[in-house]
This record gives sequence, C-alpha cells and structure tokens, in this order.
Amino acid sequence: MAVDAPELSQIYDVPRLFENSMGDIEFAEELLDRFNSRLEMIEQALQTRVLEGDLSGAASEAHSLKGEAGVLAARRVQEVAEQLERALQIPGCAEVSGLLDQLRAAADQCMNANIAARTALSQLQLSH
Amino acid sequence: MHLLVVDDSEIVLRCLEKTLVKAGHTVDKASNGEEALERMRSTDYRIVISDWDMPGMDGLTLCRRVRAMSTSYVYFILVTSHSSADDMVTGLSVGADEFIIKPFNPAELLARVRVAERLLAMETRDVALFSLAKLAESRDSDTGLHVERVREYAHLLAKQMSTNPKFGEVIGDAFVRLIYETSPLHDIGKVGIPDSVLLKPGKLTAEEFAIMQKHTLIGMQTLDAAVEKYPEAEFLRFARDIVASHHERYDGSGYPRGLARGEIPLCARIVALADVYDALRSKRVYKEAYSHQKARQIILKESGSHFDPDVVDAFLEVETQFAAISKKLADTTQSLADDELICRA
Repeated sequence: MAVDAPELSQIYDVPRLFENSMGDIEFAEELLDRFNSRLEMIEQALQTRVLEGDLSGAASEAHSLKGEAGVLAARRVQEVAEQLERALQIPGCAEVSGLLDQLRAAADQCMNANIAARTALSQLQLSH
Repeated sequence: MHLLVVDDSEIVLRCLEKTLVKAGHTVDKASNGEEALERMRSTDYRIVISDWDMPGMDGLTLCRRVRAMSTSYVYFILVTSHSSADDMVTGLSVGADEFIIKPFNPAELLARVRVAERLLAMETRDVALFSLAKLAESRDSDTGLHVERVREYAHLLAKQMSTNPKFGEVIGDAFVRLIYETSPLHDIGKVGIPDSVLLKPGKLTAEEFAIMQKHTLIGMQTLDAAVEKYPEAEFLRFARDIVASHHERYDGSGYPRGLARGEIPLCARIVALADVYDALRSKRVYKEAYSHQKARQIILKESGSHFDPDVVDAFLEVETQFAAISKKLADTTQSLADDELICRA
C-alpha cells in the first residue's frame, strides 16, 4: 500500500518561516536554498562521524541541524535532529541507526517540498 | 550600533545578520570563538551575540574571555537551545547579560538589542557625566552651587514648557530628564580658559572676554569628539547643544555662531535663561546679588532679544519656584563665574 505524501504543514511551518524571514520572500527563498544544500550534505556527514565512532562530533552536527531547522521552521527535521542529538549522547544507543533513517526521510520530504513551500510563502505575502 | 555575531551555522549567522542589518545595525560575523576574539582585538564591539554550542571555543568560554579582555563593557547575548534554569544560571555566571532561545524570533532579537543599547547608553552617560562634571568642578570650587541651581532652573523651565501644546511633541519626559542631567555641563569648556582670565577678580577687558567666549567652542569640540565615539548616546548630542549654544541670543547677536531664534537648540535657549538668572542673582566682585524682582525685570526686558519669549513665558509661570531655588541653594561664598549680561555692560 502506498504511503500518502505528508502535508506541507507537517514539513514546514510556513507562517513561522515567513515570520522568521521578516516577511522578506527573497530572503526566505535564500534560506530554503541554503537549507537544502545543508540537508544534502548533512546525511553523509552524520554517517561518516557515526562510522568513525565520533559520536560527540555527530551530536554536534545534529545540534547544529536542529538549530537550522528551527530557523527554517522545518518541523520534522528539527524534531528528529533533536532526538538524534540526545541518542548520540548515550553510548551504544540502539536508536541511532533508526533515527538516521528517519532524518534521511525527513530531509527528503523537505527537499521535495521546496516548490510547495515557495508557493505557500508567495501566497502568504499576497495575503499580507 | 556595531555588533559581532558568532555562530558555527552559516544559516543562523545569515539570519542574525539579515535581521540586524535590516534594523540599521552594522554586523560582523565570526564562525567560532577564536575568530570572534580575533575580531574583537581590532574592532570595538559593544554588543556580541553568540551561539552557546560551537565546535572549539564555545559561547561560554568566549564570554569569559571577552569579560577578561575588554576594557569597556561589552553586552553579551547568548543564543541557545539550553533553556533550563540551570543553563541560565551557568550562562549568567560566566558573565552573559541576556539569553535568546533558539529558534529566535527576529522581533525578540531586536527588542533584546534595544535593551542592550539602552543599558550601554546609560553606562556611557554615567561615566561621561561624572568625569566631565568633576573636570569642570576642579577649576573653580564655587561653581558647584551654580551648576546645581542652573540644573534646577532648567529642569523647572523644561517641565513647565512641556505643558505648552506648542512644545508637546518636542519636550517629553526624555527631554526633561536630559536637560536635568546635562545642563550642569554647560560651562565645561571653561577648563580650557586660562586661570588669568577665568579666575580674574574683576571685570574682564574686551580681549579677556573674547578669550572667555571660547569656552563654548572648547566645550563643543570636546563633546563632538565624544559624540563621534558614541554616536548612539543621545545625551551627548544634547549636552553638546547646550554647551555650544547657551550663549547664543534669540536675536542672533550672541556667540559663538550668532544663531537666532529656532536655529538655537531649544535646550540651549532654556539653559540660557537659567544661566543668566543665576548670574543676576549671584554676588560678584563688581556687583551685589540682584533681587528676584530686579532679575525678573531684566529678563522681561530681554525677552525676544536675548531670550526666547516662550522660555520667558515659562519663567513667569514658575518664577516663585525660581526664587525658592535661589534661596535654598544660595552661595555662601562669592562666585567668580562669568556673567554675560554684566560683561556686556
């Protein structure tokens, strides 16, 4: 059975992103571009650190991602990054692998929702 | 305001920068604690906004180092996702002034920066006022009561004028407070006048009076330098206006620039009357102290020529309080302060 794609509101809190970018659509789009680039790299960076046993470094990466996802109001990424940061601080935590998978899925959802998020931002701007 | 923002995330840095620049601030960025310290060695930042968790030197260590190295106060804001009471105690213990919880809201960030600016301006003002007042006081032990009386008179006039709808938008609480705080500095430039002129026990010659007149320019230049260094300090600009223009006359025949009417800053027009009233009421080597009635008569005669008629009107409304202040803060010794009216006589 196919899984329905999540609603945009489950991926991005667009009104919050609009607020965080001070209603400046160009700036919001710049942030989305930067975030997408970051998401493309973060998965590899996290995997590498975990494989090398650098859990502290991986936790630090997850912490940064959590902060950035907060700025972007990327709800799901922020939530999973926070869980991952906590899990990485527990030696031998079995949840790390599953959380990395969840993070990958959440990152994919963000990248796939890029156009929808831009459209929603434009609509919000018009309504202001 | 020139700020330094520190965060290892390019996205967060960019967001902080954009928010602050849009609000008119100048922003430099650093991506870690070491880079921040390096920047602070060459630039005088008054506000630092730093992430707590950063690779290498974290925000707490940076804050400690800033406290250890800075000669002037740096307002330190920690941006963090650590929001427990223990975290806040830890942050405050190392010297942080404020916390912003991530993800930050731009409006909250700007509000926190405004708080920082207000506190920094107060600190700057306190230090500057104290230093300048002490400097002025050191030249003449009799000036203490003169500056106190002028401050009270000017404060009284400003409060009275604030009830006049004509000045409602100009003279608010801030104006009244500023004139109280800065009017004592009106003769600060006298520190640059030679003793032979400043302390001369008698009427000044024309040449000596020309030298005495320079105290307005000396004071103005001193405060202009301070304004350049601390452009956000409103009280310095206010003090500069008083110092530079309290000997201007409403009809344009005063000094140092011959400004007239509205060209003369309102605060200086107010201090001009307060200063002259005090000079008239004070004893000099060449005259006895005038009575309130005689001083009042002279001030009324000079309305529209020496004094702004609106300031004179305010004086008439509060003249009983003027007389009471004069009595309460009367000099016990003879003052050698200059008296423009008498020098001109």
